[in-house]
Amino acid sequence: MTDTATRMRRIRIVLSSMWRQPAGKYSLTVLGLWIAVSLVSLCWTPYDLMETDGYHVWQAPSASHWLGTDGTGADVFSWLMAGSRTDLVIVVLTVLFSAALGLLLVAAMVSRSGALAHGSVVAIDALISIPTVLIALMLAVPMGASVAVIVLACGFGYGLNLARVARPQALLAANSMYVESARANGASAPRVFLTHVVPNIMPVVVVQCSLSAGTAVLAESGLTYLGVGVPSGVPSWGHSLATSVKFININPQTVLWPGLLVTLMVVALNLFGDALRDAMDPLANPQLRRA
Amino acid sequence: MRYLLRRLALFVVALLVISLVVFLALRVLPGDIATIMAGLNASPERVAALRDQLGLDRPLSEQYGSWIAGLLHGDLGTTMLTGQSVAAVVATRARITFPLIILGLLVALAIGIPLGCAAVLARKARTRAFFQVLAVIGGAVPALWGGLLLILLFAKGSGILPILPATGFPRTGWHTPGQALLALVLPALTVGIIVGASIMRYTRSALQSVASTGTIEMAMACGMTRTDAVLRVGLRLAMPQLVSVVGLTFAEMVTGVMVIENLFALPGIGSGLVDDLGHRDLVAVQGELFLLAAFFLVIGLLVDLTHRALDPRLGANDD
Amino acid sequence: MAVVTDRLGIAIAGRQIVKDVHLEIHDGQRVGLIGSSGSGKSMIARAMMGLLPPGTDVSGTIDLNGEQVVGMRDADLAALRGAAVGMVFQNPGISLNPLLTVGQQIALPLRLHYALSREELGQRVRAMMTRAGLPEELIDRRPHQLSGGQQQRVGIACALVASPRLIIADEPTTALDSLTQRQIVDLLVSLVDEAGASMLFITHDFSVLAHATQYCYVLDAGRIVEHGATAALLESPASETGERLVMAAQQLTLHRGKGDDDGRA
Repeated sequence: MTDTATRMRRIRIVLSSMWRQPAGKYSLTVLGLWIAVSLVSLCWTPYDLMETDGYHVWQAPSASHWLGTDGTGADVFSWLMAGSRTDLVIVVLTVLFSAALGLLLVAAMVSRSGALAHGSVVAIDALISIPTVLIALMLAVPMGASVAVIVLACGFGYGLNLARVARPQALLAANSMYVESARANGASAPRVFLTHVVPNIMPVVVVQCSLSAGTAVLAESGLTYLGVGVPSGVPSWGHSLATSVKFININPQTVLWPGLLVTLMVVALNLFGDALRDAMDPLANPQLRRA
Repeated sequence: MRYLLRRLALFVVALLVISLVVFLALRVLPGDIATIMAGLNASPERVAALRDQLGLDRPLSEQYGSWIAGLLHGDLGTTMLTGQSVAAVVATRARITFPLIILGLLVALAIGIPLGCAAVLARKARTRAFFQVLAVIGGAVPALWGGLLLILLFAKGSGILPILPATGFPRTGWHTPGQALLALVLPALTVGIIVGASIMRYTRSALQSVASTGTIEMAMACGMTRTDAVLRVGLRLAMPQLVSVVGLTFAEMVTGVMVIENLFALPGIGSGLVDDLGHRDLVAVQGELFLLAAFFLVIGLLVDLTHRALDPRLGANDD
Repeated sequence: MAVVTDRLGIAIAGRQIVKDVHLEIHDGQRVGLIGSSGSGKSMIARAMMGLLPPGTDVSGTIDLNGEQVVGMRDADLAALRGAAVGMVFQNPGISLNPLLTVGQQIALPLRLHYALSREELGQRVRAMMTRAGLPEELIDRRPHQLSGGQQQRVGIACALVASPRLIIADEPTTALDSLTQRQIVDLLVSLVDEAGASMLFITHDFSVLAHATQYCYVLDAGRIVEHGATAALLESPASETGERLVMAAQQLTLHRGKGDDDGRA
């Protein structure tokens, strides 16, 4: 019981110290709104997504359609609202997958088996220069356009990247005296990794994950536009952005909103990592040392 | 010398791994490649002919072997649509993509390096915050949207300041160099601004990591101004890092400009690959994917080696 | 050169690192500034050279022979740095420019401040190398090809080559083994005295200070807690910090013979 209580208190301290920085305040607000809107969109959007209206296509923004309507007469604002949940799912899955893959690779790189350690370094060096888009296209060959393509391609690329960035810190931790003594006391390799190595690379992991999250939103918009991302008919910001391309000669100002939305969200995701890292650092945040 | 050999061995292994991945990506398709390639309404005879033509009835290892043998002779296969060799098709597309990314990279360097230096040199807290915001926002703009905004601003026909064409690559291609170049200006600007933001961030962090060793301080203690020390000593010392970044960025742009090529109707390598995928021309896709992946591996190799050549400290351990 | 700092305060990002420091160095005097790591002593040295990174707030005054350094333009500061004030850094292994040869390194302050002919430049550099105890054949080596002691000799040569009137040495021996420490301190003291310059010697190690300085200031958490003649202070420190640092120095000296001192901060 006390354990969960301390944990809750630590979380509250971290959040409140993030809130005191402008960057943290911005990212918490925006991400909070994002989650809220995603939840609301599950049960309510101003217009039904599939509601088409042949008489009101390519409408400019107005009181009834805040951001106008698209080529089928569907409400752009409703689609953006519904798109937020798709992007949220993509971001969460990508971060989870890349973090899992990255940590697995880090574990391999710091393992005591020379062949495994060397092999994983070689594999990362060899594969890391292949861009995410190319991986997505390779996956799209068998899988077609799907959320899974985005998640797997981004997760793969960012996982490799995470492993490479975290490696020096992880090696330092894995070769330290306290790991030596933990081993001498009979701690198993996975246990040593989870209790000694992971906490030491946490700051790097947090920042990399937040960058991955931001990049995943950008990748979603690009891949969906290219036709290998979110399948057509599924709402997503990339979908709205791609649709807005067709607006450009009809209602140019409507083009602004989906892109602006994506930009604001990616900024929030990128700032979130930095703010969280600083708030979690006991050196920078004295409150944490007391908790 | 030993490093060189090890790095080369790594390169060959990676190339083999990639060839396997690309090859298998097409074989694990749920369903039959020939059926997919032939399309939904194809007759069984057409599918059978395709199967035969592609050698799909032979064992996997044999198929892989003959594909690799072809690759070694520079044969990437032929496209289904036009019957041209894939290599020739890619070469034609490269004549659009490479000029585009070279222009884009020049714009990016012209924007990113001065801004990165300025961000390090800025004295006032407010100026530094401004550069910070600029870098964060610049890195968060979706390429597609950046392109749309520039179209809204500058494109003939729809722009506020209509000075540049956004109507695709001229049919006459590079036979009308003026027109062709003009068609690349707006896309190159889009690419340049977006890549420039990341060059700016890298320049700033490279300079900061140089500064953290005290070399810039030492140069200042000898009598340089901060500006001089950062620009003359810092930039030179950050060069190996920057060259790696620019090299990798350049490579990444080959596929990274896919969206921009698509938006501006430029038939480049990336947009061509997407087209082929759309046409289910899997032989072409397989060849192009391998070619691109090999290209990225070569760049990775070159960047690693250049990095070492530029930094005397790294070479010291090799002897 | 005479230096007077008065009510010197230094703040980084709103956090006050150095508070209300009054410090005097007379012409030709060797003065020590001692404090444990994090006490802000390097900050004071950097403030005197105008080397603090952008975003640092300096308040109070720093007077170098009548010139007010706080708030001076960087171009004017640069004219002083290397020519009127020389600085020796803690870790020459990483602060020396890895791309310059020893000769180019030592020639840099001369090039920046004086228009000398190639021959004259070469002569001065060679002479400085001899004075710093660097064999002439090292002139075309780069920093990574030198030993730690040699690197610091190059650092000292850079600081002194343009005959400045004040030398600021920021923990110049901390990165060295104890035998080399002694040689480097001896070299610095003899070169500074030879030139008739003054010196501010910053360290956390009293055993070095006793030899290098006549007067010293003890810094704790950004404030001067004690000052006086070095010998007297070593004999009977008045402040708690002073006492602790003297004790530490004595204990270290006991271990001296084993050569196990690598004291990296």
